[in-house]
Amino acid sequence: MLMSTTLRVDDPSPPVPGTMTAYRLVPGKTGPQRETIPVPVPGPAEVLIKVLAAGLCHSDLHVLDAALTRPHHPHPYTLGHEGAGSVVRLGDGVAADPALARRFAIGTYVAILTTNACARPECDACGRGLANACLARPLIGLGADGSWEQYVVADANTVVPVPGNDPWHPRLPPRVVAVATDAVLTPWHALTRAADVRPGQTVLVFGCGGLGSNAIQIAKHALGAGTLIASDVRPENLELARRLGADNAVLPDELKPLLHEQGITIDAVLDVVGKQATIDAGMDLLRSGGTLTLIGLEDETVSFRPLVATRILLSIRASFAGTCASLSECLDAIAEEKVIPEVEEHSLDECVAMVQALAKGEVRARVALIPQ
Amino acid sequence: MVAYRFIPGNKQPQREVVPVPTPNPNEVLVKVLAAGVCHSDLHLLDWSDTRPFAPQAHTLGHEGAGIVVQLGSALAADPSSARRLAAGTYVAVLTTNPCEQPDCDACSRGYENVCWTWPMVGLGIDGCWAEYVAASASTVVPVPGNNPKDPRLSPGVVAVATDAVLTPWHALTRAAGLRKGQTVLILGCGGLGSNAIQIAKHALGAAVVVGSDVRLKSLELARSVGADYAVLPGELRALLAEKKLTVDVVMDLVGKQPTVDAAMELVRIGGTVLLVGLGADAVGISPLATTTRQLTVKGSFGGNCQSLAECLQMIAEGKIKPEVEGRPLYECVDVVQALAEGKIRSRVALIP
Repeated sequence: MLMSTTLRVDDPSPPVPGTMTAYRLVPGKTGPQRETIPVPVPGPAEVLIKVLAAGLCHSDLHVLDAALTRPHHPHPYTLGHEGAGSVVRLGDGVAADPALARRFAIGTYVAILTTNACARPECDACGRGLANACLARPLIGLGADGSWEQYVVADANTVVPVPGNDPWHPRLPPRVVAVATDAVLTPWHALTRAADVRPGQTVLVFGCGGLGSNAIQIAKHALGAGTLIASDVRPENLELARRLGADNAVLPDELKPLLHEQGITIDAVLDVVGKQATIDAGMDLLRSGGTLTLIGLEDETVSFRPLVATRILLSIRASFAGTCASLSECLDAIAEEKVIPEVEEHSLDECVAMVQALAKGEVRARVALIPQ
Repeated sequence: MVAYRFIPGNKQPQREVVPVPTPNPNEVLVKVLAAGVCHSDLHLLDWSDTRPFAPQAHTLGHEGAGIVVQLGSALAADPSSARRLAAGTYVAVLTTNPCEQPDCDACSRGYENVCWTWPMVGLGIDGCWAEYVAASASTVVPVPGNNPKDPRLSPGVVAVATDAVLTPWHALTRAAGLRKGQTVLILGCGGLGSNAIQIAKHALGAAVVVGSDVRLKSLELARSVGADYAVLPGELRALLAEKKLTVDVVMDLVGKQPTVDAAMELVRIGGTVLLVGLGADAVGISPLATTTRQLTVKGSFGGNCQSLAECLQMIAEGKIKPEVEGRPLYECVDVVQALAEGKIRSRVALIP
């Protein structure tokens, strides 16, 4: 049985078992595989985190699907790229650095950022403030072991302390912090860094699910969009969208008539879906010189017509995930109630069933899996 | 007068004899000294029988230079227009034809280049492949120095400047915001590309300009006008690795799937792909590839009078030297054919 090698007799850290349950992607297998694996030992620059909540995302479905015949990575790994937990062990290098040891003292309540950036100055991404595009190291839960397990290791660089350091904070419980690391962060980073949304503008958001429901709140309540129009193919999501701040929420077919009837011009589009239909609609409805911000990854390829793109002076700005800085901003926005992520808790043991439910479109907002 | 016209359904320009136009109150009548031939003219002719760009017959030629010979009544009556566009003024004729109305969503925000209120000169309404053209005052720009014999600003040069220089100029300055010291890759080193290279290198101060084309003669041209490197598409990756180059902006002047793919692959993380070429009806991009690399794709089309004035100034200062070959207007059909066969090296201006 594997024991943590950093355990000392007088160590105040909580006891850590030798093995744990993990839900893993295994190339060639359908759905997450429940396995018992050793609890990892944190490397010198890492911390070991006891997972309090882990999110479930449409991207998990994409990678599981791909894993059957064309896996992105040839090896099995634990899924879960949205995590929140508390620090239980420090790697030697972290423990030896006074600032880090203080920042990640045992018991610190943290959010885990999937990005796992290398932070080297010579990195073309990290060196220019684009850490979210650093692919030097595998992403946590998308290549490197993630949070659908009881304990996860992560580089100190990719872990962000939660403001207030309180897992019982009414607005920042683990289920919210976990999903914030993607379902809030990805639209937040995109809307603040890639999109050009100014107060009073009219914004169209495609996709009102896990990410979209937060995108609506961010655009409307944090960035001051004047008119927020949401669109989704699922009518139940439209109701949610209205409740969260959308001025109008309609099915895709109803968009053009709505804009026409109300004389609305769209200044900015956020595509949280990323499929041909949303790109087509976005380009069709966006005013000249406007920006279509793309974060959705549904289709492998989307097409557009150069003659149309050039004639409307289109900008497509694609954005992926976020950075520690934008994650801190998100957590602050949630603490200030500008964004209230909708999250439903389920036990980690329901993982396989929840993945199937998401695939069938039965999950309304976001699910957080809680290890028991 | 003789005019070479687009007739829907016909894939070749049709030579016709038509009346010399009468300018309407806000137009000038320009005696054409030169008119450019562009790949877009080929696209228009090619799509004539399936997806006509314009439903009506009209004279082609969207790059023009000439002399004002007559003013429309409203222009003649307005002292400043009458002065600015007096008969005898040497002008560039811009295809854009903006309406300049205050309630126009394009014109009111500096996007005259994409105002569609009125059809474009040579791309919907009668253009410059003729002896005379009537053009709105809003789409005509006086040439600095007012001298058609200026060696740097000959009619052939001025004509092609209105698209072959203007389009890349407007794209690089307005859409890409190319800055001094950056590295730029230009895909397509023909009519527009050979000028894009000069703009990037000599006018905007790019540190490294890489050109790429499938035609060896075009690579030669690219090097001669200032590209630091010019290679076939298949050699790009190796070149960038060997010279340790990171590309800040890729300008795609071809606009087909292979060039879009190359652009997405070779631009650096967080970089910009400038899409100007209209070669393909549709091109595909990968959401996963573009999002994980934080890319920006920007479309740009034509230019406006302001950016055209800037271009003409750059040419007057010798920073950009468009390559132009003059051919008589009556060789129009042959020139179009030669362009389609890839036999034209840079830009042809038809001289009536």
